[in-house]
Amino acid sequence: MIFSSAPFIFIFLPACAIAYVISRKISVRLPPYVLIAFSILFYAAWNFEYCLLLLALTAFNWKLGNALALRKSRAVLALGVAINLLNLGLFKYSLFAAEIVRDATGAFLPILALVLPLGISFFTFQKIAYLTDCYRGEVGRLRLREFILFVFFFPQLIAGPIVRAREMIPQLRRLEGKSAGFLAGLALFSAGLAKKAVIADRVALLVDPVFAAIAGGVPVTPLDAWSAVLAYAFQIYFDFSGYSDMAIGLGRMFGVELPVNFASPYQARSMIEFWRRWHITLSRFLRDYLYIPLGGSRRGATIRYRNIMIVMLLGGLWHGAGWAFVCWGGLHGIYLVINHLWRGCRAQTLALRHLGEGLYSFLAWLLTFAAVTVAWVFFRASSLSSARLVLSSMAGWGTAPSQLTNLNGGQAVWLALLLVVVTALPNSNALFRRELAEPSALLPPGLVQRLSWRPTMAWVLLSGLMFMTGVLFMASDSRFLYFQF
Amino acid sequence: MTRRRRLLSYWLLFCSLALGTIAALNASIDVAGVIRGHSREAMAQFISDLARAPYGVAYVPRERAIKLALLQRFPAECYAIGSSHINGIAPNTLPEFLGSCASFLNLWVGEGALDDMLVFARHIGESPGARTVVIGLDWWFIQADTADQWLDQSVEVGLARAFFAESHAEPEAASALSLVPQRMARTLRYLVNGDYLIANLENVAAHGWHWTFDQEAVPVSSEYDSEPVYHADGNMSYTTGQLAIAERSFTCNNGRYDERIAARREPLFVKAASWLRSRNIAVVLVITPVNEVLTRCPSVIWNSRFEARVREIGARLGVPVVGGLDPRPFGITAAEIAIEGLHPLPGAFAKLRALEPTLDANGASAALRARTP
Repeated sequence: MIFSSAPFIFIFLPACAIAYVISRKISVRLPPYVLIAFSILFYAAWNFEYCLLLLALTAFNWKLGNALALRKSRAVLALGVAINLLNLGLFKYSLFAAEIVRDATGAFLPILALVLPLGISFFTFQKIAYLTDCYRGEVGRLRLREFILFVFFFPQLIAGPIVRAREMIPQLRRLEGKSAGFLAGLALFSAGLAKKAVIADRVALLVDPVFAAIAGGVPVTPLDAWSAVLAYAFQIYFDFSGYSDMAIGLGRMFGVELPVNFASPYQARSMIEFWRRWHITLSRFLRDYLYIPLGGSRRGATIRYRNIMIVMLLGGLWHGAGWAFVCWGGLHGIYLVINHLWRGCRAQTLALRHLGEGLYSFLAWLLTFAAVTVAWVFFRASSLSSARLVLSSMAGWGTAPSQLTNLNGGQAVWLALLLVVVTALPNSNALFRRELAEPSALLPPGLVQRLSWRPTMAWVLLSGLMFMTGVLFMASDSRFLYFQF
Repeated sequence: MTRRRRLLSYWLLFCSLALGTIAALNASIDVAGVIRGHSREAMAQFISDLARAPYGVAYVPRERAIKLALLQRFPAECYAIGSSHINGIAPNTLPEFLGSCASFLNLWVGEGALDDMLVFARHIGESPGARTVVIGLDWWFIQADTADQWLDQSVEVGLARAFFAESHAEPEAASALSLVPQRMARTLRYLVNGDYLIANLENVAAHGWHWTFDQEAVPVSSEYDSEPVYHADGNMSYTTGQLAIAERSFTCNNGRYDERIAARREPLFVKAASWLRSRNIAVVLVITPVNEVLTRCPSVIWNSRFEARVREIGARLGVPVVGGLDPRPFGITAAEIAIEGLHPLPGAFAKLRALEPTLDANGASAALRARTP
């Protein structure tokens, strides 16, 4: 069951909302249990056995977390982290590891072909963060129901945002008294649904044929390759940020404020800024639980760059068990290192002085956007050889391109419009959380303020319209890209 | 009622009204007949109009219902069964096998697969004058389940599956009842569906508000080129525009290449084909060629394994296998294969010939193995 599916929208969500409201009327103690029941049902609807596995892991982590909250123990923390990583490794990386061994030694390891549990990468990180926070004394002992709801809370269970216990638990304890956000949550959910169904799923039609052709060894024209990669940059953004909006909107409907995950990443003027705007909760996790423990930037430039590379390579691997994902992470690591070197370099000041702030800013944006877009090739391609073929097609190298023609005039205009949307219009944070609003390139700040969410008839109609178009264009076989991670 | 609750009520009211209006529009136009279906009388009238129209009638996307009605109303001597890839097969384009047919019906349907074959084969086998059936096999043919595409005629699929599975005790034998939830879900999907709304509105723009399938077929003149045209023999003419697009735009048919012949369904195919033969009906298997460029797509690379399997089945049944995925052995050019590089034009069919299915010691076709990547 995914958020943008008829069973979720027309059966699960209304049933959950109604049960939640009724439970609040019966007893203030009931709502968390209702959410727990529906959250477990949400996961079990996909796979009952894996739901049991997740429940067992949850109970294990709860025990360990409470033990750590009582008494700091590196051994207990290491055990908890190891068990969680082992579980992730077994399901997600065993096949990849076997491939590496086979390529290196020719030996075939006996590996079970396991289905990847939905959201395993997300809930593994969430639990590691929880154990670490318990060890650091940032989270105290929790009741089992609190912890189950923290892990299972269905809006964030499958693909984040990756939440921390200390930002969720206090909210989950106050569930009884909140409901004012329902309408705003519904509007944000509708916006996310429209992003996913109307934009991401449609733009995918420009992406899939080209990558499928390339996976089959058919080179394409540079125009097709560039348009497909650009379209993919939009697809993944609208898909994942649409999902995040839906998740945050759902959280708000049930009185929980989930952290924002995107802040117009394609408006970034540097790679450092990009990672502050893209998948923010993952960046935050990697920074707090990997980069800083590795030493961060405290031990000199060389160690800092080494740490950046480690974090980004592992971040790439977290997204998928394959060399293409590792390359994607590695490429971003190199981008970040170059960015840090440039920042410390006198040439930046000179360039800024000679070009003027406006032109410098534009060139910085263009370079960042191009670098990110090129890196998406590794993310989308099914293998390194496919990625190489896409890149050579983009460069116009290699064998004669096929007769594939993927892009027509209307689609080119569509891509251009999306570019304007992602680079110049206010994002959902600006519209739904005024405190996070940033200046828009096209709209004056006053207008953005006036346009932002308010419980008015105009917003009711607008969100209704977004919901309706989302529902109308929901594809029955659509999947969120980040579900695979 | 608080202000927020009132607004929530408005939101619900607005969405219900808007979605209800769209559902009503989709149901009332229903260009493909997926929601309301059609009456027997309306279909009979449509078929009569189609038979009488000298240049055919404008395309409506209801292939299965139309083809079944054609088959029941105008039984022929020879038939073709398969997907849109075999559109264009006719006695004059496949003269070696169909040349002597006094009457012919091409029963291709969109994404045609085994279920469609079973439905048609049951009727053909019981038709007294039937002599030859050409079956176009695509890589999804034996695997795909198209039962829910029969919509209001899902009972036909249930009957056909039960009919052919009877003596094989196939787990496949679905009752017509088991298809009801599928049909309901599909109807709901089409009621609240933006793409279907667009298709319906486009149809209204083309034919006006008053046109409905239940009222009339739209006969076309010899110059008509706005939409594809259905002909009385079941074939369809593409528009000039479609052919122009087809020349420059086709892609790998991704999403299909992981399909393979389902071992559990293959006996059902063999059973149906054997049953036709037992009724003295000649069976010919056809593999339609694809554009040369697409022979390098993953689907087609995989398909070549499918092709080998089809030749093995052909050899086992003792029936000819005509054509192949690779157009080159037949001298078929890129211009002779239209839409998506997967739909041969009549001229391409005329160049197809049977490749002898000679099995080697391993049970594989030696001739084909040489061409399999």
